[in-house]
Amino acid sequence: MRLGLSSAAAVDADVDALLAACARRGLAVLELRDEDAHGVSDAASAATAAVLAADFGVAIGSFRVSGALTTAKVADVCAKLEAPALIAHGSLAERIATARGLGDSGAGALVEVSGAAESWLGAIAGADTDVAWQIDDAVSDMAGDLRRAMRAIPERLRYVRLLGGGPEAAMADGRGIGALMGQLALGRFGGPLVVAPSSPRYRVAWENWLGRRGGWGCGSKAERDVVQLSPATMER
Amino acid sequence: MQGSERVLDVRVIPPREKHPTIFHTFSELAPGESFVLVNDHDPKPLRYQFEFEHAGQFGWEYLEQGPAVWRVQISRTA
Repeated sequence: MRLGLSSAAAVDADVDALLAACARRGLAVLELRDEDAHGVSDAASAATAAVLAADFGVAIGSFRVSGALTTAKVADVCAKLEAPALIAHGSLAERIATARGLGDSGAGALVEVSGAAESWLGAIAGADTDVAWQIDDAVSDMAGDLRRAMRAIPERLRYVRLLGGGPEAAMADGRGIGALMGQLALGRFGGPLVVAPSSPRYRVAWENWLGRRGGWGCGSKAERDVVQLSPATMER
Repeated sequence: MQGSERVLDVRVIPPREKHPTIFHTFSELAPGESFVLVNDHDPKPLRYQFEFEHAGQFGWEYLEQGPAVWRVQISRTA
């Protein structure tokens, strides 16, 4: 398992700043969402980002596509990033079809599913695509769902997005994240586990956690303690 | 995706659940098996707890010691 960061944690940061934040936090993977301001939008900018990522020692975990980009464009970007596309738009059937189309063009692709396993496992079990599971508040039994997924689609669950990790972990007591992480470890999960904010209201807390408050600049030291989510650190 | 080694990254686990998760994972190991603990600080207090609760049953080897990440291979020896 490799812990990673989504650009959702700092939607207006460029890719250089995101990579620096990953390095500062010891995060091995960066997820880029197509709707954020990181600047990676075509083959040229993706090639530049790939070089920067290598310099920082951070891997690009995926290029998450939530809008209607063409298959050719997504394939170009992902090829330069050496990362799979994370298909997060359309119905589940449409996501599977898009992932297959990308696969046919030589690009890697993951179908994003979210929520409790029972809501998606049946539909995805018969497909031949790799899966990224987004864990949100709808998942009440994280470890149990993970066991069910690993039994039903062994080797195909390759990516986990955890909404509410990072600085929000302190208030996630009892949510089952510990059991999930233990199950991932015992199951020898080798893919990325990417953390992202559960809500834009926590933007300030994430900026603190990433060492962004006061500037990303050289020499700024990240506060390594978990940020306490007092009202003063939340944006409502 | 199945990795070749067990990795338990506790950086996203709520503080009160960290040690129970680590000891549960350790309890699932057979003698000779191990996992790599990843943390954002030196887990010395955890080692003291292991020494108290599992004396002579565990191995502890630092693979990385900061400044951002600590990685410790914890093995079950008996």
